[in-house]
Amino acid sequence: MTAISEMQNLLQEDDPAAIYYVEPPWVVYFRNDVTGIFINPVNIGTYNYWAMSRM
Amino acid sequence: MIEKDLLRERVDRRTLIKGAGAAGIAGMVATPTTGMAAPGATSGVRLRAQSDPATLVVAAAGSPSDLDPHSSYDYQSVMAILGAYEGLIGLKGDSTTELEGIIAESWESNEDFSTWTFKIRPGITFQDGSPVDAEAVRLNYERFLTLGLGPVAVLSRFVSDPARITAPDESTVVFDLGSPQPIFPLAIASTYGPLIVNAKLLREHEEDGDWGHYWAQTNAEGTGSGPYRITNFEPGQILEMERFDDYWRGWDGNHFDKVIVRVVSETETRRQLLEQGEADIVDALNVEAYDALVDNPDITIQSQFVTRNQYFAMTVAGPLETPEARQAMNFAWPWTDVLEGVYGGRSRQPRGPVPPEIRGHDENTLLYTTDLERARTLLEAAGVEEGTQLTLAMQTGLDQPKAAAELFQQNLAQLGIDLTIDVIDLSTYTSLVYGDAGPDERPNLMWWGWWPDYNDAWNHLYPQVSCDAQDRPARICGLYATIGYRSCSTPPRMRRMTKRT
Repeated sequence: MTAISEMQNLLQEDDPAAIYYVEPPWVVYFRNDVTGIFINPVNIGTYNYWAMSRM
Repeated sequence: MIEKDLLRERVDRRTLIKGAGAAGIAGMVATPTTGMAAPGATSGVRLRAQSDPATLVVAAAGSPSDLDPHSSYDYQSVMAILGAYEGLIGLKGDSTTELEGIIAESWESNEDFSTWTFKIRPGITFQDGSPVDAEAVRLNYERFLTLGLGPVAVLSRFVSDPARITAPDESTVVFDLGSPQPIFPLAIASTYGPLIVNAKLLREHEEDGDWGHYWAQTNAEGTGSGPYRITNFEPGQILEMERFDDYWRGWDGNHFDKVIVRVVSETETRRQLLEQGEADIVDALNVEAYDALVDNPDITIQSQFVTRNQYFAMTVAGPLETPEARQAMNFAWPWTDVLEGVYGGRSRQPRGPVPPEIRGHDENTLLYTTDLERARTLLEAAGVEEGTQLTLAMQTGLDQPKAAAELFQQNLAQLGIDLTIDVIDLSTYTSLVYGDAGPDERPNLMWWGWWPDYNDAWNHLYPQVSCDAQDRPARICGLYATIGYRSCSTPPRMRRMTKRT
């Protein structure tokens, strides 16, 4: 078991630090005439404005 | 810096800790279904004339708080300033691992990944017209490391001495990391910290050796390296950007001339503005708004699992001092009822602290089930008797976590445990979380959430579990300190792991 796996096991099961209770999706709502929007799972909540446009 | 922002921001862990001593802490977020925002934020106003197609309007639940990329550490600030600043490289599209050149046109390492060389794209200028050359990039990182504010650990994990970053010619920047670091490019691609600012210009605004940081928190004239100039910033209200004509990618094709980020605190108002075409983009809506918009032919909804999770941290003290007691809490949690009843079946049960989207996630980590009998047995083993009282705390505005906590409260009642739910105003709550109160003085459970700066499990876990930063303020000493292993008393086993990882 790698150290990272061991830490996850420790935090979740052996010596729980928390109740990790939900992983909600990120949701973005936008007008249909706007293009160039995507969700990056790491860069949450950001937009590439230059690559966006209105149809 | 942190505390004043707390008073006018929705809860955002990055905002909480930025500038608190550079612990390298990643992204704490409020649930996006809340809608807390800056006091005095816009409500029910017209944002954009529908006849202005060249303007993009983002209706944001909370305000950008800091325009300085080297200190800003909340997503709402970064959401705004990414229009004005760019990094050397970035993640490509929606990929979490594939990189693309931005200010750097190429990059490579030596054989053992200990030295990384970036070639700067020719002809790029800052928004004051001065060149974004290798020396400007080097000076940028010297500023970032010297300031040592919120997101600095994104870079300082790999290189902390500015002298190890050199510019041997006008297009080459070299990072001598001193040891093999194959994931270094992921960190350089982070939107938290390593963006390129006009450090030379900022020094003209320097006060008391701050590299112009105080000025850059609310100003950006000439300092940007990206496509839009920030032309107006009224914290808590609005941020406006206009296109920078000399942006290196150019303006051929269809682009927005202007971007407005307007703070609209009320969830319902943001939804209405989107429906009416007064806003183009919103996030942080609730389940009811989702249901109202999902069939609207004028609206597109994008939904994706990301690298964040939310949790109730447990104080390692009192009734929850033993692992058995905290395991019992997990078995008493109403997993299915929360996921289906509270989150509408659109969220996911975590398998531990690292979401699957993060490199290093262990899919073999335990997935809890609700098992009240097992919880009862564990509580008995822990010596937690019926009639025990527990307290759970969260800040105001978290409707879904509160509903989940109420279901948890019902389950605990079946075990003879009396759970009190305290909903506390934002500033009091955050003061409690990051304050010096010992574990016996804290609530037994506290709501929190997290995401990493870049795609790496260690980056995700380090600030939550490590107490390496022993000389730093207790509030940034990691989750274990936050929840009760105070004064950096991380469990020895965890301490050993954090040092060798």
